[in-house]
Amino acid sequence: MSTIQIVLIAVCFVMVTFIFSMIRKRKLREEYSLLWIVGSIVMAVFVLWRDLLEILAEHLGIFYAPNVLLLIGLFFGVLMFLHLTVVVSKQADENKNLVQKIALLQNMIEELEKTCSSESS
Amino acid sequence: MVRIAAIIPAYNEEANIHRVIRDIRSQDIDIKVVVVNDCSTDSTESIVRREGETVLNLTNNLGIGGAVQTGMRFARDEGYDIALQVDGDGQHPASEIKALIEPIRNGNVDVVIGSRFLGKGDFQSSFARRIGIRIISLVNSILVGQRISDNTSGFRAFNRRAIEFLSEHYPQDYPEPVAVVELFRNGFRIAEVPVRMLEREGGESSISSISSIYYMVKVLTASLVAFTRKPVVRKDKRRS
Repeated sequence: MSTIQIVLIAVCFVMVTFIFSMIRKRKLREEYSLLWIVGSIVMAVFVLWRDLLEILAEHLGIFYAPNVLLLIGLFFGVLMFLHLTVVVSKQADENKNLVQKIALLQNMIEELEKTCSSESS
Repeated sequence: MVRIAAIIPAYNEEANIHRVIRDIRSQDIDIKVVVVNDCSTDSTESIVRREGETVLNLTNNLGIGGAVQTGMRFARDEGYDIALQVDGDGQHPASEIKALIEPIRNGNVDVVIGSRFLGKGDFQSSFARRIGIRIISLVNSILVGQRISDNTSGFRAFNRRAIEFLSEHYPQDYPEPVAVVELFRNGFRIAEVPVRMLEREGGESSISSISSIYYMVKVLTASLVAFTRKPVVRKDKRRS
């Protein structure tokens, strides 16, 4: 195993451990961690099986093999962005529902206060 | 006795809101006024309170769609039979409300849109805006299979069934034109009545004429997407 492989495997390992520790500390939720873990594992696979890049490049008709890395990296980045915008949209919707509920409840409390004070007087 | 609520979305409308409220009160029909204060930074809230009407305060600015939906949820929870949507800027004269709710009272339709373009009064707007309105009208009319001349009109009336639907499914981004498509797709009967609308008396419209073309493109996209969406109301539950 070459030095670069050992270094990269270590990086993958640290990355996965870091993600898991964040989940354990509840800084990252399980549902959002999956993409990161999958990303780390894919990276580890490429490190351990060095010919995979050449094989993929040949099948995809890419002349210069490292370009496959660029493609995968870009794809992963776009996927992550898409995932994040989906999460943000969901949160915006939930946020909207909360704001509306607060407005309705506040009004309900005011109405109750009015009836209470008119009954007591 | 039909219970009617007028939902007034308001964002910084201190210059107009009291006039809108008094205008509605001056009508000889009993209408509950509900102002949805979309996180205004001016004295909109205190003016509404001074008038003694209900105000629903949103803690964040949700935009017109989220504001109107709050009113719909209020109308649903409090058991109103008809909900009116009236702009907070004084564009919509309360004298037209009778004409707006008439088709619903007769039970012919579920949703009534007050249209500026059906011959009553003349409405001035910029060239770019008129073209935009025309194109949106053309596309929406084709999508829903009936002529809808005023898709951006915020002067509308809804029956109980429509209130319940909109409480759960109110479009947020370009609510007026998209709501037309979504209501149609879910089997609601829509009608337009000619109404007179006034020029804005104070404040600024939410759409400037420079950005009308951009607005139009976004609305058309949203309308088309709404059209491809699966109806949420089940077929056998329609027109019950």
